[in-house]
Amino acid sequence: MNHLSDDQLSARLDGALNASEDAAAGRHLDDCSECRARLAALSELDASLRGALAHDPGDEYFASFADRLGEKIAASSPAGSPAAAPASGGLFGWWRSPRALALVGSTAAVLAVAAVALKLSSGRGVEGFAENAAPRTEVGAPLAVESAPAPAAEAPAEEAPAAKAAAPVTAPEPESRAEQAAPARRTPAARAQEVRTLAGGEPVPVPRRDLPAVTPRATPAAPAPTSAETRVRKPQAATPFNATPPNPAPEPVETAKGAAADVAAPVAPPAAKDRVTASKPFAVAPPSAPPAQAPAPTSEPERKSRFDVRSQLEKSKASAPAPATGSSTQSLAPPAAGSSVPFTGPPAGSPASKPSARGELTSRFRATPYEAAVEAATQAERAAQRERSAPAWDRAAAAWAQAASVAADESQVRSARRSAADSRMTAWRIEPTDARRGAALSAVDACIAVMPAGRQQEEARRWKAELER
Amino acid sequence: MNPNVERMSAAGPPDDELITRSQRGDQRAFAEIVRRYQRSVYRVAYALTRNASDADDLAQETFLRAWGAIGRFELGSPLYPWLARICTNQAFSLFRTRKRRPETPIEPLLEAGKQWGVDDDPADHTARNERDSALQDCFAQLPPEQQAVLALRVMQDMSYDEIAKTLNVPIGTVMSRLSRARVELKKLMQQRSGDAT
Repeated sequence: MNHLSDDQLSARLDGALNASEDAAAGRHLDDCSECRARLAALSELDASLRGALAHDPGDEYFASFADRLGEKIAASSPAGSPAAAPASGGLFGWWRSPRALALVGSTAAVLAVAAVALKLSSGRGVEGFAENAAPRTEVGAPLAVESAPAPAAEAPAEEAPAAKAAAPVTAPEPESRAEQAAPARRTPAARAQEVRTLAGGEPVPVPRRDLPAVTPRATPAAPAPTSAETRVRKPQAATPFNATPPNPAPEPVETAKGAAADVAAPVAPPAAKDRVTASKPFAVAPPSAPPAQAPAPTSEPERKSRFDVRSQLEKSKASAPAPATGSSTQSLAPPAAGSSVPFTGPPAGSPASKPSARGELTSRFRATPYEAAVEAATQAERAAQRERSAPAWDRAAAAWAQAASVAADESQVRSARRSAADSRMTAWRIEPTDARRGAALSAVDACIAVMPAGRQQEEARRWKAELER
Repeated sequence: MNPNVERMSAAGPPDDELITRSQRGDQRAFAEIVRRYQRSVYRVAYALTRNASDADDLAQETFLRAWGAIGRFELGSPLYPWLARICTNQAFSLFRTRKRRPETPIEPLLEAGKQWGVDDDPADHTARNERDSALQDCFAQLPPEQQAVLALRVMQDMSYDEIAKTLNVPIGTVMSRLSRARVELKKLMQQRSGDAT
């Protein structure tokens, strides 16, 4: 006979078995005296434990417990204010929180590791640039230029600042910005592109393992982006290196280009850049494979106009009810050169494409006086919740009363007056003065006057009773 | 007493209202919460410390911490498991401290609430005290996690689900811990009686 396990007996004792398990255990217990004895022993143990661990210090103890605790709370908070026992703990509250301490510690560790890595990489970069730049640039430059976006594209966002910060360290005493940025960009590319020397002494580039086999001329290559461009084109960076980009538009518009130039100089050496431009540039959609979304520009003025954001916007305004472009997404960013999707506003059929849509949209997002007052009152209430002080709740109540005075309909009046009364009650409960009692009574009466019979009215009446006690 | 029964029988505003008011800084609302749950919290505190002085400290510390963290309490959740969790965590912390700096509590008999009643037979009384004392010693030898599940189950009559929420463990873990705790306690008691004889 299989006896009941300890788990089964324990759960049976607690009534925690499900119906079928309980019935099965019951049938077994009917027939098994040994299991019955074990269960009885467990039950007896529980009863004994209940007696051994019970202790009643008496009613007097509990009568004064809350008061003693109140004293402790008051003592632990300045000026006896309950506001001094906040959850956040103030400016240095994190010092008492193990979780926050762990976070600070781990951040410091990551920063330290990053600093060491930066130091090492900068040292190696200088060395590599000084000693190996010439031969590696010769062999690796074309490939490096074409594969330059890959490390930037694959790099997580957090690494971008580190890469930016590395630039001035890598370039020793640069004379110009172009010189400052060029080694910084070239060095990782050159490092990424290993060169192996064959038996005959001929250097051969070794394809990187993390990149697809490089086919220099066939794969459309993007110009190496600056750090600013990388940020702008982040979604595009997720495109696989050898995949045809759905929106081949890496050339920045004038404004973006200017900003990029401020951050870093052109990344590729002039010769390499010329080579990229001479080959099939990524920036220009190949005529044989136009993007599906829209045709490539056919005339020079049209192509030029893409660089001019203002003219684009004016054009889009003029053709507001534009025909559908086939794309349901709309980018608010100015179009980049080479982008085949002209900025023509929302697709046809969408509500915003109607002539009056802009006006409707504006009016929809313009706050009414009531909404503005509610926003202000909500802010005041949040502040009061943080401060936990009666004056703060007084301010919140006044803000809610203001909202009630500009309410447009009954439901808004009810909501605002209820919040005002609630805030007044809270202020009074924190610091019960006669003035606050009077203000709370008025607010509660005003709330009861507009509140229909129901739970909320009952609650308001309970508040009133509390005030009148 | 089952804290659920205690909560249902408690008159006055519902817990959620008191919690909301406490979150806004209303100390009187929090005092009401304290009055409502002080006995339950004290019971768990005493079961875990078996010392009136420690139980008092633990219960007060539990409510102090609850006051500090009431702003983060999620409205709509049951309050008692949250308080019990704070209490057990504080007790675990105390256990760790005691492990580093062991103390020998000297509790007077009267403080333990074991006064002789009028009808008590002194012999029975002595035997019961010895048994209770033995049980307390054996209970103290259990791992803290097992002490917690047993205290919450036996002293508070909490369901497995409530215990699971309190200790933030799966229900299956509650079940196995309870079973192991009972078996272990029984074994320790048997060893003790074996040693005595």
